[in-house]
Amino acid sequence: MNNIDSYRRRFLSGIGVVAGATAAVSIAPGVFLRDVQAKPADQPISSKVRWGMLIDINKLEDGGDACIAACKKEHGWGEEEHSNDEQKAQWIRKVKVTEKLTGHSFSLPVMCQHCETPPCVDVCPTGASMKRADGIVQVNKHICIGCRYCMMACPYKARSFVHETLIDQLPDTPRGKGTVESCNMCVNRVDEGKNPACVDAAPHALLFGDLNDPESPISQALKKYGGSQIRADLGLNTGVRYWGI
Amino acid sequence: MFSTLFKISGNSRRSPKWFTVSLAMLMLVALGSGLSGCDSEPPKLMKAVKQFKTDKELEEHMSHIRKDHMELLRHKRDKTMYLGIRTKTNSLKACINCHVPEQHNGKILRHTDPEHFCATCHNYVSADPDCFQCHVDHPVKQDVAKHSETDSFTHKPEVATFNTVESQASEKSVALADVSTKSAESEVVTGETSSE
Repeated sequence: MNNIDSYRRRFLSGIGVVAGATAAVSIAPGVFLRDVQAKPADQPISSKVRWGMLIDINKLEDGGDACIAACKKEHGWGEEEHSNDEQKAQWIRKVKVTEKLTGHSFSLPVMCQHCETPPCVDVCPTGASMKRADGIVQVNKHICIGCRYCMMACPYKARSFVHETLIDQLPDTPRGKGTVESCNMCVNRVDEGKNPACVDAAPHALLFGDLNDPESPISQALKKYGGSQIRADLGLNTGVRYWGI
Repeated sequence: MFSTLFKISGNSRRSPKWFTVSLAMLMLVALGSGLSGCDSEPPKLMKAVKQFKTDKELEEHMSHIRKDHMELLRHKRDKTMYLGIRTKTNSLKACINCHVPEQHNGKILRHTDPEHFCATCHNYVSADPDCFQCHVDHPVKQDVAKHSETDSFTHKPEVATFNTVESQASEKSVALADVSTKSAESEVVTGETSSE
C-alpha cells in the first residue's frame, strides 16, 4: 500500500464514509467530495454523466511513462511483432514539447481527448467510431471496416490501426487486424465503477470523474483553477484537460 | 438435366417408358444411399466447466443456445458497446470461460484446433465466424492484483493534494499539428507559444 492509499484509508475512516454510501463532504472551503456510485452492471449508461480526466503535468514527473505502462498492461497494445514503429499501436504517447524561444520543454501524455464533438465520429462511414452517452469516444470494432478516415480526422493523432493478426488478446480489450483503436478511457473498468488504468498508475497527478456533476472532485478542481485543452482553438470541448501546459 | 439426357439419347417423345422409370428409380436409390451416409448426430462437444444441476436445465440451455447463440451474442455485443451493459448473460467472455478449458493436454486450446468448443460444430457445418480475430479464444486470468486497491472512484481524498498545486494551469494551448513521427516519444516544437 503506497502513501496515497494509506492516506486515503485514514481519510475515509476519519470521516466515517461507509463504502458505497452516498455522502457529501467538505474537505476544504469550496471543495466538496461526493461518492459516485458504480452503475449496476445491468443498467445502461446515462447521458447525465460525462466522464473526464484532468492531468497535472507538473506532478507527472515521468511525463506519463507510468500511465503508458499501465495502459499497455490493461489493454495489451504495443507488442505487435510484425509492425514497424510507425505501424505499432499507440493508445497513449508521450509528447515532448519545446518552446523555440526559451528552450523550455516538458512532456505530456497525449491520448484520445474524448471530445464532445469528435471529428472521428463525424467522418466514420459506418458508425463504428462512436461516442457513448457518457461522453466516452471509442471504436465499435464489430462494424469498423478499417478505412482509417478517423485517424486522419483526429487532430490529436490518437488512433492506431492494427496491421497484423493478433492472438492472445486480453478478454476485456478485444483487438484485431484491420480495425482502428484508441484510448477508450478504460470503458470496461469505468462500467464497473473503477478508475481508468492510467489514473490508478499516477493518482497524484491524474483525476478522473464526472464533468457534469458540479460537485465531483474534477469539476471542483476545474472550476477553481481551470484546465487547458490541447488545440482549444478547434472548439471540440475535450473531456481530457491539462494543468501545466 | 432430364432434357439434356433425353436429347443425348435422341428424341424425348419417342424414348420408351421403361427408360424414364428406371432412371427415376436409379436417382431415388442414389439419394437414399447418399442420405444414409450422413451422420445425423452432431459432433461430440467438450464438457463445460460449469455443469447444470438438472438435465432439464441443460436441455433448455442447449436447445436455446444451439439455435440462437449468434443472435444472442450479436444483441449482447451491441448492448455492451452502446449501453455499457456488462452482465455475464450471453457475454462471449462468459461463454469462453465456461466452455473452453484454460489448458488442454498441456497447451492452450485455440479456436483453430478441432477440439475447441466453438470449432467443433463450426467445422462440422463449415461456418467460419470471425469473433476470434479480435476476441481471445480461451480463458485468461487477468492480473487481479492491480485492481485490488481500486474501489469505486476512490479519488475523493486526492483533491486535497490536487488543489495545493504550486503552478496553476495556464491558458495557452499547445500546438500539436507538427507531430510528424509516431514514435514513443515525439518531439514537438511549438511555434510562438509565448505570443499566443
